[in-house]
Amino acid sequence: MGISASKRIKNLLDSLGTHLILLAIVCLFAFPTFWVFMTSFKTPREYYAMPPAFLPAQFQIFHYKEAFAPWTVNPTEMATNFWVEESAGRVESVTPQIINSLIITFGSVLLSLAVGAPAAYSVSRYRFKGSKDLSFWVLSTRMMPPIVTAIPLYWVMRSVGLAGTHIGLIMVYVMINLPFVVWMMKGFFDDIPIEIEEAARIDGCGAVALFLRIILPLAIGGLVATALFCVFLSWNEFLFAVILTNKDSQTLPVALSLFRQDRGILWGQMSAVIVVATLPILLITLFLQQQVVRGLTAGAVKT
Amino acid sequence: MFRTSRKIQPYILIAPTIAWLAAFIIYPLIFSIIMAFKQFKLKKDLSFWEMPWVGLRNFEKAVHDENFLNAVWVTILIMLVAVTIEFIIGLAIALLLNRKNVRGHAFFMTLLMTPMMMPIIAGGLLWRMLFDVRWGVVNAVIQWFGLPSIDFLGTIQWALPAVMVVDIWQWTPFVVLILLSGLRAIPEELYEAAVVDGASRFQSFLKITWPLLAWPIMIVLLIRSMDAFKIFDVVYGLTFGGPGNSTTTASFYIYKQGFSQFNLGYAAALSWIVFIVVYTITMLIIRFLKPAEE
Repeated sequence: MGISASKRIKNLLDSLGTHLILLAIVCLFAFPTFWVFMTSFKTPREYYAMPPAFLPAQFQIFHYKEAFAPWTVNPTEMATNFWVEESAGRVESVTPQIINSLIITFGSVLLSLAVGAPAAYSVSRYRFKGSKDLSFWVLSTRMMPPIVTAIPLYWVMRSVGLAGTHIGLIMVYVMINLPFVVWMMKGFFDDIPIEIEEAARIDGCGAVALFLRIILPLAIGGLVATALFCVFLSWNEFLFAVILTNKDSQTLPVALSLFRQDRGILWGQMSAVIVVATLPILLITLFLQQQVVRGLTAGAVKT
Repeated sequence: MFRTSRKIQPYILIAPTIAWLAAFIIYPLIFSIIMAFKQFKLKKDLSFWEMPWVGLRNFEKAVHDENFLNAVWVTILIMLVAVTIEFIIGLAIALLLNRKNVRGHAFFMTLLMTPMMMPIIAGGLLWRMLFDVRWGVVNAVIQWFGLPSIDFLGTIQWALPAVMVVDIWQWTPFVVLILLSGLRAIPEELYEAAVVDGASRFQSFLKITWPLLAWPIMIVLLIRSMDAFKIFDVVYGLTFGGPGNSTTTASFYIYKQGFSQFNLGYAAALSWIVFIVVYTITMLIIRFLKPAEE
């Protein structure tokens, strides 16, 4: 009895220790995100202080107003109440870039699915020469530095007049998304029993109707998961965005990069934009963690 | 009729994807080879075929371009140091998370994955704030220990470690994801059998976990090493390659050559050199780390 009790205490301590160590590590990784979230609600007086305040005394939303709707901000009131630099409140709103990001993300995700899902179905149902190399293909596109294709693509897009347009960037993002769409959707199509198709075919269902009416509705969960992973890729992409957009088609990450120089001192506004840029993806991950992980590890892990 | 249409059906379904990749990967790559042998300046208003051929001169220039060689060296340095640290920390976290007495996976994973959720450029900018010499939180901690604050982003010897810290922060969670799924795939019975045979925890790690984890380890090292050559956003947001060229990575240098010097031909040549380096390193890693096939 005595032995088992002491063993249980030992096990309990062991488990407690593991949890505490994990908690510490995880908090360390989450801290910067937490910090930027807090900074977006602080006054400049609070973040330009040494040591900086951990929590804002009051959650102020004026940085969000400044960043997204500067016309609602009264500069004099801001200067007296919040000790804001002169340039603040006079920079351009980031709202157009959010709209650009939304257009480009939705466009590229829909197009990726339309192009990639049939290919995934084909790979799932028919044997090809080399269809076994799919995971290698996904991996290899992941390994190639994007700058290698970015240089010639810039020139190609420029010469056909697509540089600086939404369509141009959408088409490039479809290229980035496709390997993941085919990889993920193949897995979902594999899960649909072939008997269902055979039954439908005997009932006289044509190939197109079969795919649209029977297969796709059955794979709707997978379709949504794949779409959300593509949202993740397109929403965050920066290299092609900075090369292929101009003032009218800038996406959110490009708008963010401007904070480096032009708006280098505007920490509050910058944090507000980072929070807004991160929030959609964070929510997606919160609700669909398994699927996001499946996309992130595509090609690397046998699912 | 029905038979032939069924025969070509798979090809019709896959054709758009192939066409898309041909148009946006294969075609640009061929284009890029041609560019690499031309003096391809954006400023001059010449059409594609009017740009003069220069033979191998772009490649010759690259071999003697000290800034380029430095950029490749910086990239390899990040690859060696950051990826090693990511691997060690990532393996430790994965092993901890895989212990039987750990609850609340979803909670831990959600917090752990936050760095991967934001745009990488945002990660760079946010750490620019944290590393700030006057008001940064990192320096607040250093001062709390009674040490003088460090200008991380303004001094040559500190800027590169700062870039590495951000890379480690952002990508260790990815290493954890891959290794954890590898650990989960190891059948529980093996460990139970080892306990019956009287093996210590360390022994069962060495004899069971490590060899069975060899494949995921290789994959993750491969992906992360190749990712080092992609590093662009972090540098753009955090240091913009400076001070001097101390944090200019290969991708960033090529970008600067192409889009601030407008030297597209030279940039194309450089990108091919990097591509060959990446390919060589990939093959080396596969050769040395490939677990013995069973």
